[in-house]
Amino acid sequence: MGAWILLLLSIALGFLSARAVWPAPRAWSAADPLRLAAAPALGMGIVSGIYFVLRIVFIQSPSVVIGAVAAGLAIAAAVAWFRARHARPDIPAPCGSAPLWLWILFGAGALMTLLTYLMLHSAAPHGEWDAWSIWNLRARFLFRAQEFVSPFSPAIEWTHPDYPLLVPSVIALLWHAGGAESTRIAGVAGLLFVVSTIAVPLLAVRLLRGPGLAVLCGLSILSATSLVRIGASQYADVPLAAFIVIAGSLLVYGLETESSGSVFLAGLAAGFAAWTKNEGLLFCISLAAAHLLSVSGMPDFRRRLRAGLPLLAGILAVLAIVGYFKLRMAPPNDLVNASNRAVLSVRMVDFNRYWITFWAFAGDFLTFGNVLVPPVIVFSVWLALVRLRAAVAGAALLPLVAVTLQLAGYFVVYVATPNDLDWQLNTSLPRLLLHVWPLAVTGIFLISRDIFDTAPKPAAPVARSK
Amino acid sequence: MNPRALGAVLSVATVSLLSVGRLFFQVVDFYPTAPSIDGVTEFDGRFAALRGMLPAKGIIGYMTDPETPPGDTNAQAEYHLTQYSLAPILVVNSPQQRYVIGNFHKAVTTGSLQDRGYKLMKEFGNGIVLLENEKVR
Repeated sequence: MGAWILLLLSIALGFLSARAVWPAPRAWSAADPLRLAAAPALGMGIVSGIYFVLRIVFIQSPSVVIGAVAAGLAIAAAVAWFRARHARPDIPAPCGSAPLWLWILFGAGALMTLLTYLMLHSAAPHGEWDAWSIWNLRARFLFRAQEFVSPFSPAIEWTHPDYPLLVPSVIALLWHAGGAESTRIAGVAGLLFVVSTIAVPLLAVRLLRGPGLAVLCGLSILSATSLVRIGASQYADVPLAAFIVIAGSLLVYGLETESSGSVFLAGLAAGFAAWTKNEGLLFCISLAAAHLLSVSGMPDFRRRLRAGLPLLAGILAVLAIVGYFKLRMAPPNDLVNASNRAVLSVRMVDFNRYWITFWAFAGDFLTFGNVLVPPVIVFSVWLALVRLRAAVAGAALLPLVAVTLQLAGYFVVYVATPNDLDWQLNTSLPRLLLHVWPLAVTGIFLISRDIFDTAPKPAAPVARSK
Repeated sequence: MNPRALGAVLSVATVSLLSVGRLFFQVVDFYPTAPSIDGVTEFDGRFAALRGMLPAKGIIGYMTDPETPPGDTNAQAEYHLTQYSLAPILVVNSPQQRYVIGNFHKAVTTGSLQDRGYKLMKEFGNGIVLLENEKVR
């Protein structure tokens, strides 16, 4: 029971923290569904940060950590309540509606996805290989250990002791709250990440482009069934995908509506991506670079700075935790550790490695996610039929630019990997593509022309800022 | 919505729904045949008694059937699952520790273990034993 209460507290903490930094009037507001959709992931990220600082760095008891979470919730509620008094209303979604039959199709897809997750989780409650050899193993270490040196020992290097702790620490704290190791609570936490991965882009596109494109966006993300399969396997790739899509979606929303609170939350989500998996560190760079490109058209330097500072602040707030963990506790990463400059330079000039990596990417683009028809073809046909929006620039392009940069980074890492290249590609590439899939789909629907006859937004963002 | 746009919507929605549906029906077919207790839970249970005997921290060795080829995936999985089961004790895949967990699938006699320098401390059934390496003290 305690675990379920803590999970609900985490969701409430996520929602109220979002409201505290990105305020809205007290009544239910237009962007509250988006805040609520991001709340489970953001809440678990914040809880994980509190856990790391109090439990692992300052060796406090789990009850102190849970008390701090409750105190954090009270503070977030007070700040959200206070800031709501002076908050401007959220910019409402464009008028219009999606056809009922499209909602029914989405509902059917979402229901089948939910049932698939439940059946897969029930068949393998501890998750699949990486779950019990890395993520849930680390959670057990944190839950059972009286000290926090053994879990990061190089003696068990194969468990990747340098991997960040967001997922294991949340699971460990939930187990502490419940008083026992429960596979069910871990499964539900995993399910919440899957839900956020679909709901956040759907609701962001709804606010920015209208409900028709939003429903199609959600349905398209569901089509990559590896999302639910890997999610039920309790790998950290789905939580990472969730934070990536939350960061990208909130950043676009923040830039298009000039909401610095939403931009800060985007930075926080990007930081949590780095606290989930090492690939998230690369995403922080990709997102910041994409953001820089998207605001480079702004004539006024101060406006550019104002648009960038909240993002940077959000990222750095979490990177402080990641940095402490990496520098003070974790052994060096196996990929970094095994690379000396001379060997690395030999790999980087080996054309054959580029060739192998290129064909692996090309092949996985075609077979990605067990989608019935390769997504590349589906979206090419989609864009050919509906065409692009009249003005595609800046923030709308940001998700696709960030995804491209992230994939380019993955490509370089593969070329440089000290491990067997074929093995590395075969065992990880489909999961790495899944990291960016929801954000890529969101990007495509953000640049697509609206075909649902949606009326424009009642209030333009520029008018609001004046 | 014009026919061109309707075609675009239908193509995306159909591909998505059929993809989701395909996995759903595959899982529906497989689910009733899945064992009532999954392999990890069952493996975990085998180590419950041993886990109760171990201290809160420390390092313990691990060995399996001598003829297991290096890189054998099942053997690697069982070693990882042993660590999963016994955390926070560190289980290293080497018998060069004072105490060693034996996870054997073929019958091993106490005599043959003693010949190799291992003293049987306790047998837990299902091929799991706790050994003391007499060469490491």
